[in-house]
Amino acid sequence: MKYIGGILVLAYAALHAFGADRFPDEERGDLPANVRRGPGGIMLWHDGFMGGK
Amino acid sequence: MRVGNCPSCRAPIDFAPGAGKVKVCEHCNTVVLRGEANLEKLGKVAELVDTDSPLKLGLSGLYSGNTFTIVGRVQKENKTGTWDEWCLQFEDERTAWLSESEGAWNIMFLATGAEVPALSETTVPLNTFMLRGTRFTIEERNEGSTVSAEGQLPDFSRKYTYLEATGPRGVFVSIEYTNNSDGEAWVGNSCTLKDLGFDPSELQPAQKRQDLKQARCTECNGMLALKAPDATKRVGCPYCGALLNVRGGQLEFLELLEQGEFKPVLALGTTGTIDKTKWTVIAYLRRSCDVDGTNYPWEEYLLWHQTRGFTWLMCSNNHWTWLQPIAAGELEQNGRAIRYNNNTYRQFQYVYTRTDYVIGECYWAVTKDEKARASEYVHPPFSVNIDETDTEITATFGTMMSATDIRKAFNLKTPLREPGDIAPAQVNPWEERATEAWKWTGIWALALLAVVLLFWIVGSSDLYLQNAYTVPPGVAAGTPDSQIFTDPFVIKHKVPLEVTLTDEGLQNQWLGTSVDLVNQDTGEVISVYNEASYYSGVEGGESWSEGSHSSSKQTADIDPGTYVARITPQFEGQQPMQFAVKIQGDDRPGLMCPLVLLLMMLVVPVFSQMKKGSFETRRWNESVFQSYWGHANFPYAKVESDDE
Repeated sequence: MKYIGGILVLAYAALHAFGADRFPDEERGDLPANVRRGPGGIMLWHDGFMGGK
Repeated sequence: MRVGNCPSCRAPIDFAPGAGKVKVCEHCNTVVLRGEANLEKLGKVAELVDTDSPLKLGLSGLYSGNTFTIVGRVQKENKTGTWDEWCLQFEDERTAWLSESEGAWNIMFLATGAEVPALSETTVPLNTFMLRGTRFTIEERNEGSTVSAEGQLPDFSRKYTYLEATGPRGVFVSIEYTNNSDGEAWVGNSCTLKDLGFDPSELQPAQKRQDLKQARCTECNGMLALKAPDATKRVGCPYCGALLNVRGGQLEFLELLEQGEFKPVLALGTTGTIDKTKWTVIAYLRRSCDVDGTNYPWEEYLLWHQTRGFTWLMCSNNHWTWLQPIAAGELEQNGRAIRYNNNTYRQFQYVYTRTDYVIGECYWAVTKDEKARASEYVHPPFSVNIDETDTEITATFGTMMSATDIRKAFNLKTPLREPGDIAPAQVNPWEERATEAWKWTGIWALALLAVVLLFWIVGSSDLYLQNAYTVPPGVAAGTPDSQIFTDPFVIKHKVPLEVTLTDEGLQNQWLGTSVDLVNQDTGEVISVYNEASYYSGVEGGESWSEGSHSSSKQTADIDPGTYVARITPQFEGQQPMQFAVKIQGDDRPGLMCPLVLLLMMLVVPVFSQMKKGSFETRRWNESVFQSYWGHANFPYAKVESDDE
């Protein structure tokens, strides 16, 4: 335990430094190419994936 | 009256100055009491038995700066043997008694004015009593008689009951109760003949005892070569099995012991070094106890050293324990535990023991089938062992030794058998590991907490969006009409996001929101789905609720850029819904990862703790007192419950 604990603390520091200490719950993708831009250049997109539901 | 004639033989009697009120007529062995006006006859005593003592009447010595002279001697006996007690008359008129026990000498002075406990209050060994503010523990309570005497004595009693008790720091007390007295306490401690300042040239050589060093068995003529003839009371011949009594420096045949097929690992005469002392094995005993009809034997080796006296090596199931005698007065009994040397020893065994076989020389009057009750109290790797009979107890302090240690100590060529089970006082191998594991887990848990705190302090939290939204009535969930597009917001650096949905008005329904973050520069979509549900009601007169009014999810790192969030609510029905969405950039550490690591850290100490507990369970399963600390039961019929 003398060394295992130290390794775990170092591992945590490394995970946090690389942003891997979280448990993200997301989906990623890209907008379809045919999405049009609305007023102000905002992309108004009504289709596509619905967040996993 | 100090000068007169013996009332029996008329020989002149001259009382020397001092406290002596009784003198034995050297002509006719009549015991004469000095009265105010005359001399009174107290009967006769037998001739003295030759005890081969190095002392004699008239010897002078010096103790604690005071000169004394040996003025009298009594020979006493009980069921197990005869011994001398020498009366010392000091120049300052104090009187003391000097006696020999197991080769050591004890000097005792009268405890004048001490309140002596009544005989009825001191019924059995291990009873305690207070004397002059000191607690004493009875080690022996026995009947004795004075069979012979010589010289001048402070008093004389033929039959008496006596107590031998020990207190702390080596002090002991001897109390004699005769028919007509309340008991007289003599307090003292151990000493050597050298401490008593005797002139060595005046001491008698105790030749007969010395001759025992070359003694031969009276039955088979085998060479016995006693190592400690001064203290030896019984000898078991290793060649023919004869048990011999030692009396006055001579051997007397008592009985023939059945020779078992016992092969001592340590032969008689073998020497070994323990505690920087070279010990000689002088006796081997095979003892046993019966529990539930099963016989459990073990071996005991009596070790002797010229100045340190006697110790024991016990071998039980190949577990070795070195036992040193201790004064019972050093022990403090507390229920099923004993305090000794600032440690608590927990009772493990209480069994009836029997001596099955003995060879070699013993300092007590051992007999075949000698019975005793033995208690063992443990504080691994140490133990306190108490052997008791109806009249006396002996207490020993045990230290466990490994088979390797014994082999090394006695320079044995062949390895000893390793034990297969757990000894009562065996060190729990997981004890230290568990302690060590808990210690380091604590240290690293604190370190982890410190790192988390550090990251928390240096981390940042930025609010990008916090708004309340309403879905108008009649709009179906998930349709483009229900979708909400937020104003653009800028994320300046790479950061993980936390998306939170809140609906305080949620009641017996659920609400889901899909928050799709659209990077306006790259077209990347990061979609996070939250769902909150809250249900409550009353059932059987009791209200209940489940779920929550809010839900929160995290993302991995999000690239910098301008984002618009598309919020798509999901719900049942077409009722109006009001909810709030918060999007926050937060690179401070979360709790989940440290908690998971903390749980991983706990694996080793929890495992060690379980192994430690398992070891203790197996250990105490072998105990008479099997249940947990502070509560005892008695699975064996042989054990007498003192709870009754």
